[in-house]
Amino acid sequence: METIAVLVVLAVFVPPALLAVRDSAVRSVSATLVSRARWLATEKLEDIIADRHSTTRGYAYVDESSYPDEPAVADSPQFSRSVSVVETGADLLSAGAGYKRIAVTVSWNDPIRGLQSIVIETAVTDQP
Amino acid sequence: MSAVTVHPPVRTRRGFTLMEAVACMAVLSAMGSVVSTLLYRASETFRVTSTAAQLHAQAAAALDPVERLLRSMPARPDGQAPHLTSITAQRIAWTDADGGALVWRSGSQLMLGFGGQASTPILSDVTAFTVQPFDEDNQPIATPVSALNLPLVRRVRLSVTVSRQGVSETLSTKVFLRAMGREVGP
Repeated sequence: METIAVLVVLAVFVPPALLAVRDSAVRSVSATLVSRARWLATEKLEDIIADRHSTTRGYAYVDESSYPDEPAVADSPQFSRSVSVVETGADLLSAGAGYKRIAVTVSWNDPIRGLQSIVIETAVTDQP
Repeated sequence: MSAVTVHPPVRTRRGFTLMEAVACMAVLSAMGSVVSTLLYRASETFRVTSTAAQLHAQAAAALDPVERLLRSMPARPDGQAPHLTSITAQRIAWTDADGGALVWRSGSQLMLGFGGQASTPILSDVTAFTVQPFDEDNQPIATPVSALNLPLVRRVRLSVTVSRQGVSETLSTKVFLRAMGREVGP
């Protein structure tokens, strides 16, 4: 009787305890993955802004064809990165020229939430 | 009249047989071994992931201000390039209105110093720190960068690796040196 009671108590309390430990570990991983993704997106944005201000590249170089998709980012293969460039008017919404809206998307597979992504946007102009 | 004798109820109490006790101990030890293995794995996973998260947070907190300082680095007096003073594979230094700053690795610490003042550690448990400069075309420039090539540097990639309790975390960032701050006079 006592043995059965012990087994029941173990069966009831041990699995949730293990799951709680595992869950907290995975959640801390999730937060770190978001932070890493933010650093990767910022890194790409810096490159694009540098290209815009480069005397050899400039505004015209800032185009989607200059930044091919990266299915596995170098040094961080669990992340993928892509860049979208849309030329707009001064309001950054309507079609036009002289302004480009740039969005860097970094995606990854989260162990709990599945496919996740963050997008960081900026804009550049053809004004010196 | 016959005497009535009352006997207490006979209770046959039977303990475990040897076989039952052995079987019970075998089941318990098997379960204990499985549970302890699971517990160990769970705690080990937790330790590794929490250490990695902690290392990442510390590396990010150290690189964040460095990144901001590099972005706000002023131009040379001629206004043509960022006012870098030296770059090696593990050290970067520049000049600004407050006397300049430098970031480098000293042993297991990442140090940040401001013109003339004692440097302070901004990150510990550092096992690697690299500085990689790039030119306007995003082409890498070999380190140490010569005085002739310093004006060509437009972007810098910093990479730091921190390790603790067998867990390593590497954080990299690339910064465009805008050189838009006020110029420093001769």
